[in-house]
Amino acid sequence: MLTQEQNETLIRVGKGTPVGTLLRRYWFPIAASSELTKSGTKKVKILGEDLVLYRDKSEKLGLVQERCPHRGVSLVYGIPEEDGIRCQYHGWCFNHQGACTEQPNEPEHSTFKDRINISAYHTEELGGLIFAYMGPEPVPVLPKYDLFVKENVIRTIGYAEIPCNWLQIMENSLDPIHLEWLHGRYFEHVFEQQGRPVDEWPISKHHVKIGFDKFDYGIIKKRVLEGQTEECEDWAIGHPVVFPNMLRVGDLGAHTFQIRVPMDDTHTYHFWYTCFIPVSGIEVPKDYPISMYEAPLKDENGQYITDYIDGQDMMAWVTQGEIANRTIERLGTSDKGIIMFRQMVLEELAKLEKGLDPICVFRDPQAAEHIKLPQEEDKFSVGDLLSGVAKDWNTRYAPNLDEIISLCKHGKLLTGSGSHTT
Amino acid sequence: MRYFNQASIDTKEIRNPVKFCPCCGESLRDPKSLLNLFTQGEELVYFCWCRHCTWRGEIKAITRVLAPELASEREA
Repeated sequence: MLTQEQNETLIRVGKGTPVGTLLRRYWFPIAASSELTKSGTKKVKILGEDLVLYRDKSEKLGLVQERCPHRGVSLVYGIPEEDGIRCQYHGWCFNHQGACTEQPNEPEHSTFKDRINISAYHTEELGGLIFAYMGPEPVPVLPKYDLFVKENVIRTIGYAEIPCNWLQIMENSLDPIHLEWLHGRYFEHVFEQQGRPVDEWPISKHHVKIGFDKFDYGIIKKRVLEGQTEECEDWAIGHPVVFPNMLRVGDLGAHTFQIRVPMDDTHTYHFWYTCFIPVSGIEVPKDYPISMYEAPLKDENGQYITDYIDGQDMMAWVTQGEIANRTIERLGTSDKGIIMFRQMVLEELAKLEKGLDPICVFRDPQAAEHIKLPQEEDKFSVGDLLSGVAKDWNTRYAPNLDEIISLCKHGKLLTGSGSHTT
Repeated sequence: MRYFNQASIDTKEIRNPVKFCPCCGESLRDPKSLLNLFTQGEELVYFCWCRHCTWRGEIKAITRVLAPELASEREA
């Protein structure tokens, strides 16, 4: 239970708010590279700002405010030019720095355009994603966390727009206990309702012990399940929550980053960035495309889809309300990881206010080069447990999942599938 | 003791016991510090982190005095 004022500090992400200012020190993924073909645009909302991402005719990416300052129309319908984007309404043109470079219908020697600027932010591409940085100069180095640069893997990217605040999604990642209930007992309940066999489901073991260790990039989350000892990888290695907005999970066969991008106080853009690992001795095609898919929150009747792991998570995040009311919550001892994360947010905010860089803001390119993150592979002492149930988590929506599995297990493309292009 | 009656917990009341950082005396109600209540068995525990001095600790009211060290020695 928190005071209203402390809850407010933690959840607000808009410009000028404490945590909004902190989050602006980080790079956020905002789209898959494949979404922005040459001369394409995409509307994005990040940290309360409505923006347009575009790729101009020279293939350079730009990220600017959505509304043209002239008459306020949306530049989502703008025309990407050789160097920037042109408003479709009256032809004003803006470069990547947000400077107005042309006002075709103003007098030839007018200086009007020199006084027009729009918000513009830095972008970079890495591992099939487009990242944005919206904070002050100097721009920090985009960290190359290992899955973004890992070789000989097949990548697929899921996404969803979640109608709730970012913090309750992150808190779920510091709550190991929910595994045995939301993805264990509740899943069995769903199976019962669907007439599927219950005893095949491997994620229902009771937690004997949970632990949280601070490390260089955030918090390592650890667990011992019934039948395990502290020698097991789930405890001895665990898996990380990378500050401020990323969870890494996985096993022998698949590693995933779950990245939460605050759109505003009540919406979060969620990426599942999965690398499937081929079995030993198999080389996957180097140019195999990265597929993209939406992980749906609700079905056609408006009901939460709860027969897959991430659908269950989303249901749990969203049904807490757009912004969880932490002034009436009743935390117990198993919620200490959640408290630890709240403290870490405020601790990093305090560092920032003292003029220091918060954790995971990189200035040295070498330090940001191929950052290896710890992660157990022998998941729950079952080995390739998660990849074994790939059809029970978000990757079931990947249009090429069957082919990914075929490639990783046998090194074979599925003939005539044609499903892997995006 | 009514502050620790879990059956009739009242958010305004339970926030009352802890107000100031035991290390530096600054207010723990500072919106950028953390005063996070959780329950441990019979007890309400206040997790505290003070942004002014970075002190971190847990505060709980003592409702019954126990001597577990003595009990442990007897067992030994």
